[in-house]
Amino acid sequence: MNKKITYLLLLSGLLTLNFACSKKDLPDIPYENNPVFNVNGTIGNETIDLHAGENDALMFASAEEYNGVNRFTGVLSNGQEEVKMQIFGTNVDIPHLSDKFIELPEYLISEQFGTTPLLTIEQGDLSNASTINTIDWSIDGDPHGSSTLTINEPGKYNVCANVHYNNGAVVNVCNTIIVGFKNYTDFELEWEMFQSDSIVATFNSLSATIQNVRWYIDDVIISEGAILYASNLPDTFHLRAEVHFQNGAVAKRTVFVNKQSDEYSLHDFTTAGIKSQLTWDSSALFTVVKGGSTYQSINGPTSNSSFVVTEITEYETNNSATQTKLIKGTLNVPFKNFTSGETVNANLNIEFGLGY
Amino acid sequence: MSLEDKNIDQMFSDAAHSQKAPQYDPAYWAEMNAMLNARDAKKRGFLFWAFGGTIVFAGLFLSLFIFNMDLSKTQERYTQVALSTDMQFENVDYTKNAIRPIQKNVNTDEKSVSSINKQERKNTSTESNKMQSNSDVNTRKNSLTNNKNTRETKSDKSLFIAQESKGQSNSLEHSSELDLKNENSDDDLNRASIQVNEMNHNHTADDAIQNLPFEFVNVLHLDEAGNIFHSNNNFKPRPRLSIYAKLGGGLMENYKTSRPYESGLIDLSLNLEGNFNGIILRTGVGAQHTSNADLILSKKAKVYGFGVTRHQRDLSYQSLFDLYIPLEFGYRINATSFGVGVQANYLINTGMDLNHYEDHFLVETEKYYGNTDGLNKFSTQGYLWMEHQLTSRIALGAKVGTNISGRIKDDSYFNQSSTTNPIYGQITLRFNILQ
Repeated sequence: MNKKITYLLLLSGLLTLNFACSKKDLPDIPYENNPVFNVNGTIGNETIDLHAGENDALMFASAEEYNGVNRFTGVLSNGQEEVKMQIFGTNVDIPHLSDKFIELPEYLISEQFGTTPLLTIEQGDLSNASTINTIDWSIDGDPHGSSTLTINEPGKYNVCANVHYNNGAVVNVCNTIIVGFKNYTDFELEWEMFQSDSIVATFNSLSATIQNVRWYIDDVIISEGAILYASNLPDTFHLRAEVHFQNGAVAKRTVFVNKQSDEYSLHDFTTAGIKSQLTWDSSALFTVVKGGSTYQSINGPTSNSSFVVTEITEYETNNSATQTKLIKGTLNVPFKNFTSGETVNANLNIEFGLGY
Repeated sequence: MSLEDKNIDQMFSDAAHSQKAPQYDPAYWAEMNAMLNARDAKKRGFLFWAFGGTIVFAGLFLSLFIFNMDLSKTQERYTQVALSTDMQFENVDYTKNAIRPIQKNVNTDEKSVSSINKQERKNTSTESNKMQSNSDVNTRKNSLTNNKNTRETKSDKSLFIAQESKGQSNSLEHSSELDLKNENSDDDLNRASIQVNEMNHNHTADDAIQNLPFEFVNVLHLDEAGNIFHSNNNFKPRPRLSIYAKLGGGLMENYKTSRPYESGLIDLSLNLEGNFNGIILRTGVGAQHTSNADLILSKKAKVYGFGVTRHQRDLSYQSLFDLYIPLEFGYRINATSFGVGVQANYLINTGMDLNHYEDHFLVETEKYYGNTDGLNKFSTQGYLWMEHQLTSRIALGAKVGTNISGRIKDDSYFNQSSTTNPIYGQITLRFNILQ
């Protein structure tokens, strides 16, 4: 009896010790830290002091598309004060690069836009303007409402010209036009009819090396190569060239061909008109809301105003699964107060999140 | 980010201006008053147990000395005084029926004869006869005192007998012969002397003592006022050792709520007990299991990112398993024993619910076993105990105690419990394995 009790006590003790040895470690609790996203400094006479996580301030990071071009955006706001930073994309005609955030040691402050036309195409800019009654322009599917195409904002647009000829014919041609950004695929599609039934087409003013070209007549591929020779053509047709450049860019260009009469054809209108040389590639735009006023960064008199970067690191994805860059730097540029119209200087230390 | 002073000022300023100032409400004071009263009640409870336990402990401790004081030393001192004042004493009665303590008065000359006669009559007569014989002897002793010239000699002999103690047969016989020679005119006395003589012829005093049936009478006799008896038999039994197993079960205050009866406490131990003439000393080894403890330790982290997330990780210890070594002091009166005890615990296993909160919302919970994060491996408990022996093997008892040194380690965890030293009560069942 006594031996049994002793044995049971020893056994239970050993089992307990064995049980105590099999344990798994507790997970670590996240480390405490200081606010990650901050803006502090002055703008005019106002003091800016925002820290994400303090006083209800939050950092929103997103990659938004504006006029067909990516814009890497971050907003730090507590509902009453707000600092917004936007960096325009670049390589807008290179598909595999157009959505990439390009890290630079400094980002030039973007020019203001919205009031000055960046592209204007009038009816008279077309070579056969005398046979055209009206042109109905549409941009990205929206009717423009004028025979003169005017674009005031940088972007990548799908522009369609619905041309009404004086013989009653109506021709609709659409092309992609890039405004305010470097266009690595800028060229003009030229064509000429010969012997009434044959066509030769090629490119003019190429800015990059062509890798391949596919030719389509009324959406049917008929040839590949830098120069098109074709015959036995219909009376009228849409000729489209799909150009692949060695830098990865892809461009499509469409023209309307009336082999009987060139005056009722529509040549490449993407090279027509007046186009601004200003570019917004990788430029930065800052907007500050403070004390009931809205300020926007402007490029200074010397056009060298910039956001000087001290560090760019990869940060986490946010709740919207947007990847975020943590960008740190200093901003010492003029801002325009849109409420009062005055220009003030800002001196800000910025640690910001930009979605991409 | 380094927080500059001006930024901190601005933060406080902004915070102060962005919030409405709280308005005074009498209910706030009432609530605060209730909280303060609750804390005072806790303090009073602690003081009650602390002082009460101390007083009980002191009382028990003093009682050990009072009940176990060795009076024989005092008696011996008094006896020395008695001897110095010519008072004679006799030791404990060694005989059950035949021999009784003999008292001799050295101030009377007839002492030896009368004592022997008294002894003889006690052995051979009924109680009434003894009383009568004694009176007769005393009467005749007085007459002898007037008639005999050998009084001094007898007196010396009698004193010699008394001092040589009851085993000196030659002296006893000789004194009896003297009695016969000098006092043969008295019949009763003569008869008594003859009887003594017969007894002495048949057996010496030693033989009588050794052969007669007897038993120890561990009682001091005081035959007459003024005479003090002294026992030479300091009966000191050896300490009794026993090995026993004890099973205890009971309830404990809940760590989280501080409410009683919400947590359980069971233990099983193997103990060794020493009983030192009523004083009990115990030790052993045992295992103790605390259930539904709700001992909650928290770690918090304020993590900034796109905003701020307040992480809180609660280690909610539900079960605690200790090995312990108890040390108990106590006293036993009849079948009931009581005392105080302390025990040193070594925490060897736990069961825990790990709860992870983000911005006060529970986002994850998981069970873990064997972790002791935030807890001390060693802790101690103190308690009062009482036991009552039901049978030779089984005793039923009760135990009330609390933690002395807390289980919670002061490190990176915050104590979210209402109490750190919960009070517990247990019923114990003891089973004697070896006695």
